[in-house]
Amino acid sequence: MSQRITPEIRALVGRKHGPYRVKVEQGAIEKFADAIGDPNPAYRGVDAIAPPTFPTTFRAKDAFPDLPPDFGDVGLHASQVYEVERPIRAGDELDVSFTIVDITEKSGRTGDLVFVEREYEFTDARDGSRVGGGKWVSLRRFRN
Amino acid sequence: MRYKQGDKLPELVKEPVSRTQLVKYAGSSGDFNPIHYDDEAARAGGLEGVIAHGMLSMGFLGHFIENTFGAGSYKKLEVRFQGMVKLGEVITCRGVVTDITQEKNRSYATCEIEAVDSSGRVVTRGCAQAWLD
Repeated sequence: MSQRITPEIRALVGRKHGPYRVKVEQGAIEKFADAIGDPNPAYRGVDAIAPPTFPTTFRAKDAFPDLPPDFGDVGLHASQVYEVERPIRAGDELDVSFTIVDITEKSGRTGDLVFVEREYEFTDARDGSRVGGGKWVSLRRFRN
Repeated sequence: MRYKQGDKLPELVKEPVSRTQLVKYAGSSGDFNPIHYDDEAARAGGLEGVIAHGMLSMGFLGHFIENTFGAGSYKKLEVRFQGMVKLGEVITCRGVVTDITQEKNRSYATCEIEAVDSSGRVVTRGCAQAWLD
């Protein structure tokens, strides 16, 4: 049994970050759609709505609870969920928060893997209504 | 088009993944993990060379779903990243409608979706829900 998850790392479970405010900008939506190679006109202009995976841009700017940067040989993405109550639009101001809900490990073919699962919530800063949320599971790989 | 259970969705074939695209995706998404643009960093992490952001392949699937059901139709997108996408790879998005659900006065389709590379290997797989009206 591996001991990758030390008590210090285990203590990250339950830690919450935020809410922090995110302003959804037309130009950011357009550049994001450009990068994906999606020409849909709905993602352009002053009335742009955001493509489904745009909330990946809602990154925390301040220090947030996470594994140490040098933990593992490489950081990868295991799985992702986004769901919305309504489309996210240019001009929206959202309050974003996330909680680390689980940290698990397993031994893979190429070495040990440590998974961190975070749940996100997005609410409308104007009226507090729920806009959507997500689940982000990342992994760190330790090579044998 | 009115989709029903069992319908295959029209495939979406993306342009080959280029390093420029990965740099654009890094900049616009804020994910600056160097394994997505720096071969040396990728090799130091045990990879053969740079790989695409998993989120780019999920972005392709988002493109696929809203291309099929309309912009703003997506309700939920859930994926697992199963394989790595290398530079130059051509990704095809495909899916099938597994259910139609009524919710209040609206209905949405649930679809099994996947992004496959040019050898037919599934790189990203999951489930999407999109409003039909």
